Amino acid sequence: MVQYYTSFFFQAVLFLILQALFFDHINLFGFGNPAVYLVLLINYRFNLNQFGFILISFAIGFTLDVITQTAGAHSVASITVAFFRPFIVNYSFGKNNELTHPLNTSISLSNRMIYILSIILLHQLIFSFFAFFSFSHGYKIMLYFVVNSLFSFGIIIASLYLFRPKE
Amino acid sequence: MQWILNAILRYQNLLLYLFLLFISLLYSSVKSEFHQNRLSKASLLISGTLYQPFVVLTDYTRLSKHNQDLLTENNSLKNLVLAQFNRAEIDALEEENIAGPQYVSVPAKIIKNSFNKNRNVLLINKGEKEGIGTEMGVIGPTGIIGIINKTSNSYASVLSILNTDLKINAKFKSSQVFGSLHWSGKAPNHMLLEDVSVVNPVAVGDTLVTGGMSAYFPEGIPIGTVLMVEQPENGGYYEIEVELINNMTNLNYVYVIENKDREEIVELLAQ
Repeated sequence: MVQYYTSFFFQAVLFLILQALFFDHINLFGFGNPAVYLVLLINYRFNLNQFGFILISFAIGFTLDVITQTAGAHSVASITVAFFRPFIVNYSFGKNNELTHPLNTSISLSNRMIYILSIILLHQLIFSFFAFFSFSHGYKIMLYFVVNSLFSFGIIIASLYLFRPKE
Repeated sequence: MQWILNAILRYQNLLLYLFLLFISLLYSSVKSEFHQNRLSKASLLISGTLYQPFVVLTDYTRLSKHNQDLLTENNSLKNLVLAQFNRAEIDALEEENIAGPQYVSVPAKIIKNSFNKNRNVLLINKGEKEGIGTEMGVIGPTGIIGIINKTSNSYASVLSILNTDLKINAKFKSSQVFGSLHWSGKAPNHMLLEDVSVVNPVAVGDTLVTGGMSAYFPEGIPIGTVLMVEQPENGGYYEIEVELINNMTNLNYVYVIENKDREEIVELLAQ
């Protein structure tokens, strides 16, 4: 377990640096930046305590908020994903699953994609709304949400297979 | 008592989520509290320290373009000085300088620029130790950039003019008519000018400069040109779209303007 957390810590540092220094500056179509650090929240093992997972998600989101000056948007989106992840796992893989991580090859590809996409959509919806914090920018929020979700999905699928945990 | 403990344990995840949500909201909304200031300062220091080496590395690849920009700017400034002052005026200026000029500028480098959000903020590599304070105006090589928002010892954050919360006092260079300039949140090179009465003639291509009615910017700093003018059927004010002179998406160097008389002006206005 210590080995898992140590490895997770170094992955977190790597993804946060990549997010702050590279992925937050891509600006596809002038605004599109993928939330690659979501790999950490997607990949976190299912069989660990959720209380700890919410705390870790907050630490990740808050660190990114402090570095990129986003005033709480990453924190709120990350803890929301952490809180709702058990529900997403249940409807993506079934209630009686005994899985430890989402890239288990015994799960069908479509189930894995539903799980990953649900987490990205939930995160991006909260993040886009929180970044604008106003209902009067509905069109812009939706545009950011759709472009950033699709962009994140593409990059995250590639990253997930690079950082696939061992069975 | 036991049932309270049981309820807390049963809903511990929900309670933790709500607590952290509250902390996040507090972090984003509280602007004037001491702790928020401390967090902002720490946040500035961390992002400044993190982005500085990255900027130094990428700077080398753009050196020739920077030199060209600086050369063009120096040249235009030199031309201005030569054209504007004759010997008598220079003597008068020197006399005036004995009391010290009203506006003093400090050059700074942008180490983080944002232009794709609703409330954009820039980060510069000069802070309190260089005399930078909050509410000082910031201008670029060709026009205005924003207003200093927060400062730490070595860095400062700038509220960009591309920020939907900010309004700038502006006037037409030729007609001296005043208006209020703000960003609509759309393109990073377009802004809207309001409060200009339809009794004043306004044409596409007119130049807009700072009005000098606030203590942030001196009068006459270029802002942009009129791109489109709409006259509402019933309203008494134009809707004017302005194209900025500065390209806010590729800024490198800026000048922070300190108004030596600012405190005096603010004090008088507060009375």
